[in-house]
Amino acid sequence: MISFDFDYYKANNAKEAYNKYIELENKNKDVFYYNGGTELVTYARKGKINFDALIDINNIPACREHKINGEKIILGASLNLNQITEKNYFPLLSKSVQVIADHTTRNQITLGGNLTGRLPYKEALLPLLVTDAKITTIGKDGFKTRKITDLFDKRLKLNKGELLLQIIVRKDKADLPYYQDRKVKQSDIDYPIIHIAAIKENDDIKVAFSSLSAFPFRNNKIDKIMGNKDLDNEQKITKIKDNLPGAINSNQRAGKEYKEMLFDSTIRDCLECLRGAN
Amino acid sequence: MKKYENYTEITLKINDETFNLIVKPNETLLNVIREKVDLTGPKPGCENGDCGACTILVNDKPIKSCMVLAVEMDDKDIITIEGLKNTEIQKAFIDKDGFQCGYCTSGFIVNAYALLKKHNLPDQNTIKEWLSSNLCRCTGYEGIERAVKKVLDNRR
Amino acid sequence: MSFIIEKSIKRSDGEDKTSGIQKYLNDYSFTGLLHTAIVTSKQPHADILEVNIKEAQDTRGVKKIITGKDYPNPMGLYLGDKPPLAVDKVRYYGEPIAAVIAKNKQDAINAANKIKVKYKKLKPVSSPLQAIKDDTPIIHKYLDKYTHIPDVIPKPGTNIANHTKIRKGNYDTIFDNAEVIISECFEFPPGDHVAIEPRAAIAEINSNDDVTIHSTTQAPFVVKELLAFNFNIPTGKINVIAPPIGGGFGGKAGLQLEGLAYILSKAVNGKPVKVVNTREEDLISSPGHIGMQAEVKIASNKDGKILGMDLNYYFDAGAYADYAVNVSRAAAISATGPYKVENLKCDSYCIYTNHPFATAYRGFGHIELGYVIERSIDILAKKIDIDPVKLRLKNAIQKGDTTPTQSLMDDNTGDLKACIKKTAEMIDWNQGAYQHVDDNTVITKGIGLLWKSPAMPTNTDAGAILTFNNDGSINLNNAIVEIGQGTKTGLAQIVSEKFKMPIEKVHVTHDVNTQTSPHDWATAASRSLMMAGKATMKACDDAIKQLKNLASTVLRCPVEDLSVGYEKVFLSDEPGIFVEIKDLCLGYVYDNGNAIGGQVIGRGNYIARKLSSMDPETGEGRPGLEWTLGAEAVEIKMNLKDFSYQITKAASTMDVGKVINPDLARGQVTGAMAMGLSFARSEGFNFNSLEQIENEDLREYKILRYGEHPDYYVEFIETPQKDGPYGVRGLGEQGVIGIPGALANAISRAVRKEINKLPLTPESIYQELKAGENND
Ligand SMILES: Cc1cc2nc3c(=O)[nH]c(=O)nc-3n(C[C@H](O)[C@H](O)[C@H](O)COP(=O)(O)OP(=O)(O)OC[C@H]3O[C@@H](n4cnc5c(N)ncnc54)[C@H](O)[C@@H]3O)c2cc1C
Ligand code: FES
Ligand code: FES
Repeated sequence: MISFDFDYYKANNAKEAYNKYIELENKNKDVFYYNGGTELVTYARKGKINFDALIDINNIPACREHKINGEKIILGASLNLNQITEKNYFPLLSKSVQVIADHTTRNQITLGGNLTGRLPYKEALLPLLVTDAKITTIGKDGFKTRKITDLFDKRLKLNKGELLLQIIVRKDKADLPYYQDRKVKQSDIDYPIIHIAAIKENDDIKVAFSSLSAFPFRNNKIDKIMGNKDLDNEQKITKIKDNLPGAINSNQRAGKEYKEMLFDSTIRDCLECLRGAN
Repeated sequence: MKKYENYTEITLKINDETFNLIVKPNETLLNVIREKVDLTGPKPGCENGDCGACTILVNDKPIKSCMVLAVEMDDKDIITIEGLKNTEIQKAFIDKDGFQCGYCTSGFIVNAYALLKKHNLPDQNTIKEWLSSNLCRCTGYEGIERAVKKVLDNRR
Repeated sequence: MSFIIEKSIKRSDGEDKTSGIQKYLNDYSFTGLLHTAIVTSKQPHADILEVNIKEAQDTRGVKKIITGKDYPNPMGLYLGDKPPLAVDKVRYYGEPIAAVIAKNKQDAINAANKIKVKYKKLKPVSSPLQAIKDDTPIIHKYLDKYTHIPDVIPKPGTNIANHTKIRKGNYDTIFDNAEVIISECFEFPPGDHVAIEPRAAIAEINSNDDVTIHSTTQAPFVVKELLAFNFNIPTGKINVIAPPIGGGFGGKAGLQLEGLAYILSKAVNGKPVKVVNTREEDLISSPGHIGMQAEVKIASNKDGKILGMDLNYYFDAGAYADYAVNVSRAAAISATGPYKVENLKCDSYCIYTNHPFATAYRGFGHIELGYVIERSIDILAKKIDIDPVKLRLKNAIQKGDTTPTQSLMDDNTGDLKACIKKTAEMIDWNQGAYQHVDDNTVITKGIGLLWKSPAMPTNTDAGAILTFNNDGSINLNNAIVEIGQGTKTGLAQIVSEKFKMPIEKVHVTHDVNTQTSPHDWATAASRSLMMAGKATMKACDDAIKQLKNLASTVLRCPVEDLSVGYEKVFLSDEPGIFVEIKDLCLGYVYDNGNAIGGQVIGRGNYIARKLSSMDPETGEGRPGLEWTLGAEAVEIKMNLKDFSYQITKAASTMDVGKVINPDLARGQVTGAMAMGLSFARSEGFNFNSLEQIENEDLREYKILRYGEHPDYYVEFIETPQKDGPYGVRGLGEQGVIGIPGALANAISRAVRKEINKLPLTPESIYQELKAGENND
């Protein structure tokens, strides 16, 4: 039971949604975009968030788009995770989202919600980081399309009221050889201890991590180490650890030590798997 | 843009029946179905998306109704456990002892029904992927597994 | 040949439960019902300086707010130590402090959010062993003032709520010359039942002061009697109604939310008030599964004959005694597990800590001691290099041996050795308990025995009333709550068997109602089918006698010549001469209109016989009625790189006397095995450094999911329990008991190191191995 009242708007297009957000915001209201709703509804019941209004973005045509447009894969922010897996335009993304939550909940969690929500895992993000995906948003300067790697630093840096509409992935990148693995405490239906996603482009390896430290990341230095032919696997592991953007941390899922052990073996597996791949 | 504030009328189509209901935006679909439509088959087990006892179908897809606002479902097609009486899977749950206390049962049957509708002969992994969305504390899952298998056996 | 016993009759509640029609308590609503919200403590141990309700009181819809000061008297099941709402002190994270009654749930929660509690933090007590150290804070200062029953022995001035002592044989000298001694420590944290239905209660008081309670309870008569005792209400004024519940596992026995619902209703002049737990409250605020630390010493000769045991059980009762004091006592009664142990010293302590408090849990003390003993037996087997199955066969308890309380295993003793052999066979023990699959993968097996005797009052009873309908069908009225176990179907089978009548013609009461149902102790301790079954058989006999009497007049023949069956009373040697039950059961009417006999009402009762209390110094006595014996085993497949593992097989063989309904019996056993696996594999509260709980919802508190369950292998041995109906004894909870030990044994075998702490997460296994390396 949610113990506070709020208003609910169903937006029909992006402009309308954004304008309403700004209008309410100017009236000093706490407003959220409502996508899959799983986080907003459960957090609201627990009293972890409070709001005066929700703007449902599920009817915005751009947010529902799901197609291949020439060289590009277009993924609307309101697609749910199962839709992404089923169409499977981007196999690495399919794999990365198919492990989030449970099957029923994946009918509800949206791609946009996973990328912008409060939880630090954001597992759908990893394939987007390694393929240099772009995102389209609407904000104070109208529609904008930018590289996700430029916008993501610990979290997706959207301006107040900025609405994520679409994710755009280059088809050629989506078809590259990849590696994906997810380690859990015990049950598959759990947040991860480590989630890793990597692609191999020519001889370069691009890799992104979630859960290893307090936020997900991809980092150029680590990409370089992964692809460095002069280093053997163990040297790579040591070097990567020296260059992590955030410390490997202990949390409810795993202590630092066990996590490091899993990290080492995951990197080994990743390197082995991608070694011959082309 | 449609606005819902305070008490607003919505229309829900549940088990082929149309209900015009007055709801507030902060009411979850689970609570509205239970308290205003008086269908108490969907159960609150956690209201946090973890147990699946509240599972219903929206356009044939299983959804945890504790994580959905009722206003969001205005004009959608909903099926609850009450709408699955006499289906093959419901009978199989009786025949194969897929329940004990019965509290998780609505959610399990609804989910299994959707699975069997979407996949004619799902493999072990697909069955696991779907059914692991629900928790049961009584059965150890053997009876549930057998109930699904019975329906599959009939199809082969 | 039997008519219907031993057949897998489908349950009578099947259609309702599979089509959403079955109503559970929280599915009922009616006009005028008031709703509530509870404020709980965020501190595990603190003095309450102030509970400020001013702002909350002015909130929309609020009818009344109650705090601990309104009902300061402590109360309890065996030991009165807990006020309904915390008074001056909170003793665990999640303890209820104040309750709001409002027109609707939203208003109640809103107001509750505005109640402000000021605390003065105290140092929390975080484990039983810490709790009994000298410099530890005392959690209950007034332990000496609390009332308690004689069987519970608290130690005022300490944190010990109960101490049960067992002394048998040469316990003090047996270790002196023993060839082999093992000595081990064990522990696991407190956890929860996680019945999928959260607890709820509705209370209402009418103008005659009649109290009606609707509750998700396994023990309606316990609720009735405890409410009467604690709130000074004449017992007859209270009616408790118990619809079927969505899983209990012990967590819905005793007094749960009913007392609170009662005082809240009283505060609003008796209006109906509903108290429903959220999942979080159900996990943390309401009582859960007991935690434990233990020290085990076993002496044996070099061939593996067990000579003696020295056992210290330190149960983590949490903040209040509730059922825990009796759990610790039950664990003492069965302390050794199902082994012949002639020399024994056991000290079983129930200890207060600042954890959520513990209540009954499936197995009632036995899953805990079972884990500790079965691990120890495997360690002993390793030490003397004998096969664990052989070691168990060698020491398995048999008819003629005595229990820890020196009572004799009588003619009813089950065949434990047969159980062990069957289970070993089902799990392919002889193919090897350790198999290499590849460099990183092994398959291993573990075995664990079990025994259990129900822990219950010496005067535990049950009753049954049979009445008839004008179509000759039968109503069976008793106070067994349908908790998922299907006992009602089993009882209907007994009636059907007795009358050789189709089971469709036997109607068993649905909701239990303490005003109209005959008295019954509780739907707990796996005793329902046995005791209510006995009472039901007696009621059938009583009704049959009455029917025959009447029929003998009608048919003009001696009573001895008559038989009852197939809905008739007939001449045994001339079945063509009969009168139908439907024409007798409400009185017989002659053609001329004369009526005789009147309606038939069958009465049956049962009371446990020859149970006695225990000697406080040695434990000698006969506290347990019957013993269910069994053997279980688990097979796992482990990845040695990261210690993740799957549970591939679980096997169980129990001697249950007689299987009344094979499918239902199997379901009980698989369910229990799953619960044991889940408990040992992943369950238990995580406490942070401040002793607050980190896993207070089902996202974080992990129970076994679909697909994580193993293939189940279930067999039964049938050595009849001569005083049970058709020879049955209890089987509802037992399947849980041997499993944790079996799983831990399989895992210890896989990693070649003794793993003695639960839960068995891959990381905890990794940590144990690391710790071992550092010590080497
Ligand atoms: C049972 C369960 C299990 C889970 N398990 C996992 C897991 O294993 N791994 C994992 O990574 N996550 C997991 N999650 C978390 C889930 O992925 C996130 O909470 C996600 O945010 C939910 O997406 P949603 O569409 O439901 O979000 P909503 O609740 O609709 O929104 C969440 C937040 O994102 C904002 N938002 C949503 N869409 C947009 C947009 N297009 N533009 C701007 N802002 C937007 C909203 O305003 C809100 O603040 C789990 C959640 C549940 C309920
Ligand atoms: S009540 Fe909805 S998932 Fe548990
Ligand atoms: S039947 Fe009781 S929880 Fe599944």
